[in-house]
Amino acid sequence: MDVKYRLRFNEGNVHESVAYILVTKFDVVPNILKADVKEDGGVMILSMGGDSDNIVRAIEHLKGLGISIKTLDKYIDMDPELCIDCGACVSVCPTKSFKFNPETWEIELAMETCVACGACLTACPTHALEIQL
Amino acid sequence: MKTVAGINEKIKAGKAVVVTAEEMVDIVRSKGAEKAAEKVDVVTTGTFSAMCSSGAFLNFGHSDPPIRMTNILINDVQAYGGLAAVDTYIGAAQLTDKPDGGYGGGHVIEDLVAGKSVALRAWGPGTDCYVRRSIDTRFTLDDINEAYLYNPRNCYQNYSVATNGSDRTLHTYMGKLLPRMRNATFSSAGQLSPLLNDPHLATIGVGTRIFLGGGVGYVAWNGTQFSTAAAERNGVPVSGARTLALIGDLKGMSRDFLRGLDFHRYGTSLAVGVGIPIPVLDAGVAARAGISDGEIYANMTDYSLTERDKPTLAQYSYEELRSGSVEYDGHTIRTSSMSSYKKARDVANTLKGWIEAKEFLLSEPVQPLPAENRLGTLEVR
Repeated sequence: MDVKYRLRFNEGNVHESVAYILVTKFDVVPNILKADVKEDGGVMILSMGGDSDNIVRAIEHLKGLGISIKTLDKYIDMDPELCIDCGACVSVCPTKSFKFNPETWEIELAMETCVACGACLTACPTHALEIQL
Repeated sequence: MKTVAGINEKIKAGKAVVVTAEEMVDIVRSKGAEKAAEKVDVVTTGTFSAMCSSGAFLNFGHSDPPIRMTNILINDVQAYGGLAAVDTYIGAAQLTDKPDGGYGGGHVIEDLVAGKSVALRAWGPGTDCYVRRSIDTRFTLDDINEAYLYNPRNCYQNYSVATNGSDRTLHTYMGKLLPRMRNATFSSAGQLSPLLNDPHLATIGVGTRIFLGGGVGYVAWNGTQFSTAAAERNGVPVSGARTLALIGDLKGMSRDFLRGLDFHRYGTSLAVGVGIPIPVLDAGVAARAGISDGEIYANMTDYSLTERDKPTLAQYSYEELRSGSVEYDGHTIRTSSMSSYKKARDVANTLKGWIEAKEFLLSEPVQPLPAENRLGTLEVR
């Protein structure tokens, strides 16, 4: 599974065509998972595939453009104090990242497949899920 | 044939054999119902799910000078002001007056059992005998005279599986339903569920002592919308049928088994943990309590249809529903549970522990629940 990154844009760099740069200058394959970018800036979540040296160089280049980049390893916080293991999140997740443990019937969230879409947030009746972006 | 009194003697002597309804499945399968009835004395059941028709009666005690409260807000959630001076009822589905929403009567009940202090604001007309016209204070569960859960409809015997045949996402009390039948939700503990293990209420009636919200409660009456008319498969209804009205002391309950819920764009509710012990009096009781998820079915309906009576699209067993997906009309529908099987297990195991520790005795019903009852409808005249 490709590593995912959060890119934060500001007014000065919001016009940069990140996907084009990654493909043409660094031979990196971007997959934009989520983007909320307006004329004064915003946030994009993308994964990058390809040669790891190229990805490192690509990240340095993007940072040079003033785009702040953070590696994402956890997108959804699940509060065990609030979760009641009902399962309301399971069938609404497009990447099937929530699963029942077949022994304990507890909900397990696979971060490696989560794409931070947020579909689960409004499905949870105990507000146990929070998106970390 | 065994008797409840005889089983209680065994419980007191520490000799009763108590199993959960999940464990009973294998026992009946391997030994048969006759042998299972000889071996097992009590089967404990459990469920933990949204039960919107729940709430609590509270008595605050009198302030000095006293007030006859007619408008009552607890943590900005309206409670009923039509009882005597300082009595009230707070319903689980009552939403906060605050514009942000997301909080309601179910959350107030959860906060109270968690030991939290809640805000009380109340107003009254001011009378010769109750001169005070308003009060603004705080209280905890320990501060007030009485607090008892009284739930007019809990433990629905079975429930529809909900899907959505429309082109837009629906937000319902059955959760988030994705367009074009991309998912379906169900809400039952299936083989652990109290009323699916004694489907004709041979052992459950008014006065049955139960596990309620982490404490001890009782069956008060039949629940509202109690119906005996549902179609059955393997001896259990395939849709909503019998229900129970339950009562118990909130002061003995726990947040582990009472949780406020907020269904996005629907409203609030209360998740209630209920467990009913079934005395295994004979082979018939044993056979019924040994039913498995593969033998209990539920009807799927389309929640995008707005009429009252929605046609049944398909019927699935809880084993199929729990597998994560079902097939319908040539395509796969992903399935989600809205009721917690893990918590249902916790309920059944906790009740089992109480009985084994001689802390909980079984009671005989003082009156049976209706053997026949049909659902009426509200006609617009």
